[in-house]
Amino acid sequence: MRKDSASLGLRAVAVAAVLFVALPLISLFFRAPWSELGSIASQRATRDALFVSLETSVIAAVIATLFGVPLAWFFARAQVKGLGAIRTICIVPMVLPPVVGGIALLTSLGRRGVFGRFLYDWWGISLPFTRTAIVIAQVFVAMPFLVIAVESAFRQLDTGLEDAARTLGASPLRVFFGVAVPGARGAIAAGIALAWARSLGEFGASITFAGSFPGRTQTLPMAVYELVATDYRSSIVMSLILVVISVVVLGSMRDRWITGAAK
Amino acid sequence: MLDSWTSDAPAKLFGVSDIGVTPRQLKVSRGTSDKVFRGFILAGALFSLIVLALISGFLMYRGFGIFKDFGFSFFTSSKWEAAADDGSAPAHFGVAAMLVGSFVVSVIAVAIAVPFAMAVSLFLEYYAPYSLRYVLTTILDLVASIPSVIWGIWGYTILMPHAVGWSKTLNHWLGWFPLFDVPAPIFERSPFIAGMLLAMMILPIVTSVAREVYSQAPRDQIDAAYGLGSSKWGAMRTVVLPFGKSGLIGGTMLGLGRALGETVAVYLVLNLVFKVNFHILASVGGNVASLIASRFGEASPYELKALMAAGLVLFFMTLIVNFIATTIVNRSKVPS
Amino acid sequence: MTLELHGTVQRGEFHREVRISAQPGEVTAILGVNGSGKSTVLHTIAGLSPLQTGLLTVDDVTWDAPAESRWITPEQRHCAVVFQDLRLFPHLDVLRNITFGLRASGIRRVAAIARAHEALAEVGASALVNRKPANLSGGERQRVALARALVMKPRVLLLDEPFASVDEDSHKAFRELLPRIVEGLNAITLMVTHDETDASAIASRQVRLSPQELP
Repeated sequence: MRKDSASLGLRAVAVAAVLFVALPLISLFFRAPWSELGSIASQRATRDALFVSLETSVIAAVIATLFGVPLAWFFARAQVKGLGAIRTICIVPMVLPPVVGGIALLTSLGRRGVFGRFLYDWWGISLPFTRTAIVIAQVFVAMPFLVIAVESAFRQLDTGLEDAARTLGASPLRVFFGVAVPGARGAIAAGIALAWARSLGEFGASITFAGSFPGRTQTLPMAVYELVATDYRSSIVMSLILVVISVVVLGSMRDRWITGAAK
Repeated sequence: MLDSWTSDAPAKLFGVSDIGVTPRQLKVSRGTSDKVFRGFILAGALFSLIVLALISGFLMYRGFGIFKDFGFSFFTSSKWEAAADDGSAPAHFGVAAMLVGSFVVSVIAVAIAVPFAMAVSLFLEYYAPYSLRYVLTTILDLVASIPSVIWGIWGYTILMPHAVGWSKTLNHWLGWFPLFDVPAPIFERSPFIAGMLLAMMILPIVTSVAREVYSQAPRDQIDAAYGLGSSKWGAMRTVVLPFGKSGLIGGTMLGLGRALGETVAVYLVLNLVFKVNFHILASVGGNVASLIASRFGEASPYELKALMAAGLVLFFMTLIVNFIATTIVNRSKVPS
Repeated sequence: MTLELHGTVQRGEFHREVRISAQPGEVTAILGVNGSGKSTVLHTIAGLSPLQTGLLTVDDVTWDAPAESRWITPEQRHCAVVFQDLRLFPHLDVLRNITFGLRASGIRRVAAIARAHEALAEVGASALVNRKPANLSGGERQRVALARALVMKPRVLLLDEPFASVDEDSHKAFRELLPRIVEGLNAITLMVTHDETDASAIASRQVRLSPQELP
């Protein structure tokens, strides 16, 4: 193998490209009004948005996990006709423009939507423009990411262990919780982190389905978006908070994931 | 349904149908907790199914009224006007400019991102030492998870001032070519800038698909190329790049799909004008997703229907692009 | 009071005719070269792959009868398996590996732990309680796998190449241990092996599977 100039060129281009896409992160730190950071971060608007974001994204991640992990197992193990089609359909929100998803959620679950009408008439439930609506939108957008990550982990698991558990008298439920979930716990943790990060940054579906009312349904990304024209500094600070939260969580997850795999 | 004993059966059985054995349908009675568990899984699956069915169903239901009212002109007209309040002018809706705009911006994004993605993935797979590879992939993964509104803010406040200068230079030297011509010397919020921003946003996904495909290039052929005295780059050019071609196309399509659907980032750096425009440096552009987001709040019920019809169009566009992408990627994964 | 199996067993593309009957309190060896379907027979009895035709009954209870669409799930069969690759649960320590089946059958924790200790003592592995499978030698793992099956007090005990992963010394120890355990258990024991010496040392009956004839 000879060292050639292409190698050096490739290295330069690759490193430059990666650093270039990392620019937004870096430049945010440079642009941040550090001296006012504390006062902006403790502003009511910032705190409200942060609180709404954290509350909804955590609930969304929990729901996505509760439904997504069993669903991933179903996709990895089940032998049903048409499974491929069901799977494709469940994954579609991953590629669907979120704003389209938000509109559809609004028109179907909204007060005058075909399903939402019954919710409202029968139980007086009105979903749009509530935090529940945000959670629904976030689950909708984030769950496929979790399902995909966990499903591939389940597929790589040794089915022999599950067979062994069954011969020992374990019901499918116990096989799932006693063998499959512990076997895929690294990927499940990563999937949860991913779903949570997606929920935290979700914008298109939430803003169309839940609107952006400060203190009620305004999440951090919405606040960033609304403030960019009027209060640029606050917007930068909120971006910074958003980025730091997701980078810290995903970064720590990634490390654990990799060391877990290397064992 | 959940029994794992036939986990690999159907694929294998398919080829030996002459033996005449198919897996038996096993009827099993189960305990309560398992029924609950099954119900739970089915609920999860049904939730997604229903939501998706709702989406396509209601978009179609609401959107088709618009298609009926405007016919084909919904796709060919660029006019987007709500009815005048006094009833003097009827509403007219057409998405031509937005459709064209979506594609212009996305194609720019792909054209910029793909060469970089190729370089990055080749480097990561075949050149980078372990530590550097770890650092760079970590950065890419983190970048992939940055909320798009952050990209939008960054593009609006930092990228755009620089990009305006680059646009002027491009226009100065290449302005004779219609693509780089501008009707008025305003360079802010152009398709070029939006495309550049999108290029950065889709780089991680295109890179990760390209990496996966490149990593599957046949080792023995690469070694053979070395054996024939080829340089490392020679081996890349003759073995890895041709091998990964279809995978790269698939990854590109995935990136394209994402670019088509991007909302808030594009909205911040693109001037939404209802006019078909191919001058990429001009401050005139469009994108279906940001049209929806920007008009949604104040839309009349009738305009809302038109926005849903636009959403339906976007929905099918991304569905088709992604379908092509996954087909190509999957085909390229089949071991030769 | 016996196990009766006759019919077509199948796993993947592989399928063959078998006819086996076995008595409680004695070991029936299933002999045959690789690819003769020995393991598939065990999987069929355990319920991991269903019969295509024929009948499987244990103590006059039908476990698998395609003609009547009757099939008992693996977890409902009173049957324990020592797999060739052992299949100990890597995330559980030895004690929890052994109590897994008991807990799954609804036995309370304290009782399960007591029985697990008994079973470990029986196979001479009491010292291993808190170790993880990854930190055990081949022979130790084999003992734990055996204890995990024994602790269930199964009606049918299935052993798939029980000497496959043990060294020479443990091999000898196992040859003496196994008959004693089986006798105490009074279970219908089937042991798959390719080794004639093991078969004649331990088993009182032998079933020989010929290499599979392709259709």
